[in-house]
Amino acid sequence: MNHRIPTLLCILALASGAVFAQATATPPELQAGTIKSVRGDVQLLSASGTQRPASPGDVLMPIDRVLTGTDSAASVVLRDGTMMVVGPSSRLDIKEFHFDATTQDGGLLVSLLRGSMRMITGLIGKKQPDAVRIETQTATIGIRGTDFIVQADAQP
Amino acid sequence: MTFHRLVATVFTSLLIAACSSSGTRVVLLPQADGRPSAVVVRANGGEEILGKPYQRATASRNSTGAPVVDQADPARIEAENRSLFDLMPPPPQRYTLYFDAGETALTPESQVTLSEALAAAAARNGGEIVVTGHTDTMGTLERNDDLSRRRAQEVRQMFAERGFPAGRIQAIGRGERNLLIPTPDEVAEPRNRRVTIEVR
Repeated sequence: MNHRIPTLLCILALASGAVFAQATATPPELQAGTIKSVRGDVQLLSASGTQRPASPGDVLMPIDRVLTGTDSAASVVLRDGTMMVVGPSSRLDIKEFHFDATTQDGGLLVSLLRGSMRMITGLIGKKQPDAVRIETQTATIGIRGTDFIVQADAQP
Repeated sequence: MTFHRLVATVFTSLLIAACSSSGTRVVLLPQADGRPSAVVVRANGGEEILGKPYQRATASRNSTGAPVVDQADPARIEAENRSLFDLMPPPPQRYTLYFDAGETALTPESQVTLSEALAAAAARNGGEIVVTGHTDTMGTLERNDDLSRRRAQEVRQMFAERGFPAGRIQAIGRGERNLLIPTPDEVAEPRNRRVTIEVR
């Protein structure tokens, strides 16, 4: 009996902790963005390995993976206003997202492992184009502002 | 409203297809406002810049050298990537609120604007409201960051009280970093003391 009460308390504490974690929203400054629309089968895979079907209004965290089935797609708006659409049969990782809404400094790294995506860059890309990168298995894509110099050396 | 158009957007729109067997294709899309933009595509130790709408870079898995650039057919790009066009969220809607001088109460016009913004956010799929406070240049940067954040939080509260989900309202303070009317430091300018709303 003596040791039961602490155990019970412990379980209660754990349980209420879990409920609490679900009930309180993640602090907005840690979120990456919000799912806007979903067509067909779209799953979100979190860093901890839990998978859940996506629906409009869902919060997207940095390191989340977006998985779409055939004939499926989803759109996302990141906190800096970057808009993305993930096309059918795709696997897209938000590998890195941080954004200070006051200074508008931040960084975004997206990895498209397969499938297709469309992106309209937001405030991070506007302030610091270098801080936005998209990678695939064969290429890395960077953003250039409108003000840039191109230096082309003759190719051997 | 006009102010937002003026500071608007040097944004880049692009489309990427990653196919594990053949490589990656990147297409630069035109911007909604017609302004130029560009992306750089690096692969196999080489790089190419796409600076014209519908330019396409192809980085093949088994080739060497920089990506190959050609001009894609806009109609075909759209037809082959229908969902990437269908699902793109509509552009954000923007509103500006003003307060009665030295008060936390909105002007009557701004009360109406608040209702419009609320209706627009409720009509959107997964709608969100981003409330951003701004100050004039009186006082220190830090004080103004704080002041603008508090004013944004007040407006956030107004939206929440009218039933919009609090988890989908962000309150941001930009202090004196984004002046509507450019002034030197330490200038009182009521038009700079405002709260902007973005519905996305």
